[in-house]
Amino acid sequence: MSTGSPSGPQSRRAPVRALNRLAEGLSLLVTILVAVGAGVLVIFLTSEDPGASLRSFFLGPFSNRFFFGNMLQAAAPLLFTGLGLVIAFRAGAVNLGAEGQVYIGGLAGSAVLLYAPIESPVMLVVAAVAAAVAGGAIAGLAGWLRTRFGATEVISSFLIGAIAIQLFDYVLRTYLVDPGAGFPATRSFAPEFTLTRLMSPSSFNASFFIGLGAAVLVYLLLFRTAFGYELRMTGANRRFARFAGMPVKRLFVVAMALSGAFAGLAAILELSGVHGRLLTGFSPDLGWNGITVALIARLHPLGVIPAALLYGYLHTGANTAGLFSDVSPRIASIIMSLIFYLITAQAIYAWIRHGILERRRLTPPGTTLDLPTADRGAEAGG
Amino acid sequence: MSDYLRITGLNKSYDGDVKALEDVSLVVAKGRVHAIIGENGAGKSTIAKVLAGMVPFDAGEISFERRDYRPSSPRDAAERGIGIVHQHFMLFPSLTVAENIVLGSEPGHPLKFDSDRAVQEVRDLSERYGMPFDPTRRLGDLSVGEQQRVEILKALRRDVELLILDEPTAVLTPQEVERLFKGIRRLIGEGYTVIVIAHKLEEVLEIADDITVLRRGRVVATRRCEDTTKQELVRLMVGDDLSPKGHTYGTAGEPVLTIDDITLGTQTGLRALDGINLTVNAGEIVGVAGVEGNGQFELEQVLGGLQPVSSGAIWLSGVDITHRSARTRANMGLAYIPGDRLVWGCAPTESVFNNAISRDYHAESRFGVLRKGALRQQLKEAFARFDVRTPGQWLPVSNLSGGNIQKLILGRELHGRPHKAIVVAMPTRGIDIRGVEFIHDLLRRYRDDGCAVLLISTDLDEIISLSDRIAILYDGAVVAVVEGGGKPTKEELGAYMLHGSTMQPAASGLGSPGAVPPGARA
Amino acid sequence: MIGIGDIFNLQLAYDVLRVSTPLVLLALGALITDKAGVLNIALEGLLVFGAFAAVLGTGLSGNLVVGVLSAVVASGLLSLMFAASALYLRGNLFIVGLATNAFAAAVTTYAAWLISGREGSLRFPAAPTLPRIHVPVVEDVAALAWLSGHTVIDYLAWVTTAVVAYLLFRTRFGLRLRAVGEDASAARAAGINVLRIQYTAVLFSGILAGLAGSQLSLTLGAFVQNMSGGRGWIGLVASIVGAGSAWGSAAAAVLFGLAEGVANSLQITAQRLPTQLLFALPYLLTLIALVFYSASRRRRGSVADT
Repeated sequence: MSTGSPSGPQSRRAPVRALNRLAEGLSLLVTILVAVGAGVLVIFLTSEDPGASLRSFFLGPFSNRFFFGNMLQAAAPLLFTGLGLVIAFRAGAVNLGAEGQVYIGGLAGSAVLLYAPIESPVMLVVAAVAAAVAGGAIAGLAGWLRTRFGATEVISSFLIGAIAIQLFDYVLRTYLVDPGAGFPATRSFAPEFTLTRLMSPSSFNASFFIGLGAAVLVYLLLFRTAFGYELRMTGANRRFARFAGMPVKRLFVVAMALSGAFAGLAAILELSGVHGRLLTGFSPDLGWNGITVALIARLHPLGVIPAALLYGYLHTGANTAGLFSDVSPRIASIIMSLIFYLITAQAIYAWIRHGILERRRLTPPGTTLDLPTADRGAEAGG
Repeated sequence: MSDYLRITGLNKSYDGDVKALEDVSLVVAKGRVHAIIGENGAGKSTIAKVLAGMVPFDAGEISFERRDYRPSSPRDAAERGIGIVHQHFMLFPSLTVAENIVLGSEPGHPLKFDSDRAVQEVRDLSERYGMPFDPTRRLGDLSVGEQQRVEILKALRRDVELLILDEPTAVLTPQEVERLFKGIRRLIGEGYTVIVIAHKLEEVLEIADDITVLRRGRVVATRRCEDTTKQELVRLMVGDDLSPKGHTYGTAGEPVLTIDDITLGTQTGLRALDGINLTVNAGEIVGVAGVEGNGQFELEQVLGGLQPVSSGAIWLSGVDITHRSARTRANMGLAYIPGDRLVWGCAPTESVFNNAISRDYHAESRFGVLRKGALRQQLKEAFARFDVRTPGQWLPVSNLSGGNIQKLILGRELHGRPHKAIVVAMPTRGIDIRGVEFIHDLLRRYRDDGCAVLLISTDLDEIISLSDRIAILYDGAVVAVVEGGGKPTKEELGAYMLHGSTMQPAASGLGSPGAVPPGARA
Repeated sequence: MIGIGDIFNLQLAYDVLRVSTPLVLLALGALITDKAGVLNIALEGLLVFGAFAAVLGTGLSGNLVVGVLSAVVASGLLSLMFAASALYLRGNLFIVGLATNAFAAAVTTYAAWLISGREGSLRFPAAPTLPRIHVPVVEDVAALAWLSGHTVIDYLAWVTTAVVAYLLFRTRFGLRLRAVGEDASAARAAGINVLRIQYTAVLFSGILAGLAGSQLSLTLGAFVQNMSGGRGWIGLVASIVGAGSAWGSAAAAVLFGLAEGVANSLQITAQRLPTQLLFALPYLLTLIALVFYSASRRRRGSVADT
């Protein structure tokens, strides 16, 4: 009669969910293995001493405090951009401007820190708010252009982000630059505005733990609150959400803005935690890699943690390989881009799920990313 | 000659579960119009799809021109000489008529499309078959009837000999139907054979030579047109077993849901709803009958608060709700069960739990935090009361059967809140018999509790067996309101539905107390 | 004080024609894939790949023709990888497009480092750059001189526009391609091999992006990281704003090229103006065009808001 009654279908279908999960996990594993395998192949083909290069690539991050701390720290800003993109994708919003949102957030936050009237850690909070607002504003703008004019956020978010990056560079070089720095960077933030290093000599700092907390908060927001429920239903079926009385247009814009706000937070924590000042090109593709992280996490906020750590590991491994062998740190980008290629491939999932685990055809779970396809957005309109 | 197309013992089931066709055998003679009729879901379209090479069949044999016929694709079917005109056209609005017709086997070569030759070819074709139009026009600018003729020419150009028309009149005006029939007769005169899939009996009797009746995937009978009557065909189509069990009336009270002259315009300037007036009283079920596409969808959307009206007003117990949101209407006591379950009623990829709480999550949250325990408790009660069977709350709702999804939606919208009125559209479409009975009983219970129920359905049996009064929707307007319970009969209602007026002789029987209840017809 | 004449002169016309070339080629590539129902977000990466391969090919062989061919082959192969990821592996179209961009950026940077030891650029000092073709009579007429002195790819872009216009609207392939983009399942029912059409369209865009990349890097004589500068995206928008026609897309591309040309010319004539803001100008114009086009489409009311 009610749910969970041990009727016939129950016993037959109980393993379905487990099988779906298993297939998801395996297809993720296959994706990562193929990408890392390709990276290994590149090292083999290009390195004079592949053995040593691979050793420093795979083991380097664990060789001492410096690299281990840097690995964790590399993951920290990606926790934020990844979480932001989880929120956007969950609501069906394709935010491709996170890179620009990172820069504009970093600009706004740094301006607060450079011109702070008092040198108190409270100003760091103000800077974080400024960064979030700035990033959120330009992301929200792309969302609004979609709901108001039907201009697809897929392209507009990118264009706005590109404009933002130029704006960042202009303001940095024209108004904030410290001529003594020797390259486009501001003077250092006051010591009160930098996060304490927790694992010296590495740059590991509290931002990693703030990121972990943010992951839990986003998890609670998405899965425990009415607002999060509305966001997810809007992304899953916009018409159903309308039928249930949800303000789908507003939710779309808010989801975009939130994801931009997280990009802004990533920036200010990276700047105050690692660099201690604003500088040109400070983001190692935080926005773009955030998309990969969100997808590896299967759009789950807690999944963002291992996904960001995977990136941190690859990134730091590539750095140690670059330092101690004849491999470029760029090898990490190649591996990440290959993961990016394969992460949404339904054929891999279907092959494992139906070809290997079971020969019957069943509905895949709803957590796989199902973004709108080639429509230009004029139809769904928010 | 009688062996032109022979189907023997054909079986077809979808997804290994639902049997769409069961041991179907029939013979189509060359040079004749063979109609295949039956109610929605009787399996007519499946036969058409099998013959057109769109779906494979499971068991049985088909021979065409005395050779085994088992098409692998529509193209394969066309090469053997069988073509199909779909109810939903496979055409490209942005291309010209000529381009649409020649697409797939165009004159010219890969780097040259010989447009002049295509135009000339189409001109010749259209003259030969008496379907004249300008081949250079954009297809999107053509009327529906003209587009259908394009589809027919497209099939004829591929040298098919047997043409299948799937519900060809469903979207046509009476004038266009006449024109279509003329075209069909002309084709027969040229030696073609035509299979018409249909459910409008008058039209079938007018055009067909032979008629095969399907019911629930089985062939009930094949008749020559001159040997049968409308009454017999209805009896064959409906079957005695499907007659509604004892119809009960409600006791109508105060007016609850009042629809006051509402109109809804569409982008093309047409009126999807045209001045609808209707009142539903407490304790009665008012059925809205009509052929699909006459404004049912727009009516439910407008009443549910998903589309604003162009003019007019909607009242709920004396309160004007015309400009109230969907959620406000629900909170005021107007429940709405949408007709398209999977598009509007749920998010198929989301879990059962997420789909079940969409009405209550708002009220059942404190400071924005969902009270999952309370929601789960309510869900448990609702599922028990509405007999929702689910293998697990966390599985995607798409794993449930259609009946269980519908019961989930009913439970979600109806459980735990007082209702003044219920607007319910197509509540049992695609649902098995037991589910249908459950849902029908449920609606009667709500009626008996004093709820005003507006039932929008294209299933005439459902309308007749449930309604106290029946409004007939035709071309976006209510053309008549008659008594329910089988007086007027199904055929008489059909006359309204098909013609939108009382010009049919059947009108004489309307509302007369002596009319035969549907169960007693034979 | 800068006069209007200092900016809008024949020199600008020459510059606009020059900087529009990659945009025109990319817009045409985007148009073809779009007509086949594939939103081509990978153009940026295809462009980068082409630009890199052109420099590498020219540098290793000393021959420009080899360089341009390398670019066309490299971008073509990458476009097939993009197509296969979306069509065969059934990856999300947006995501595999972005992945292509990320992959191209990573691989070219890595390869540049392997070859030259520098991360950001690749340059072969002895390698030739694309020569400028002086059109005999035209270059002597003052009012027409801006038409002369361009590279062969500059002129090829305009020939390509005509070719694409013909291909899309006058050939059997074009007819089928448009049918596929409009309604893939109906096209399949008409017996058209939808996948083959889509692969071909994407490959075509890859080839055009290879040409565009050659133009970028072989006029400069070097490959520089980020030299694509968002042109793939701008080309994509040009194809959307061009309302489905080859000449319309090319015209939109020139409009965006005008923004770039004006920005370049202001950079020289008005050195007080910040270069970054000038660089932002093409993006801004592109964004505005996209919004206006979308709004007008919506006003014409193609679909009710659901």
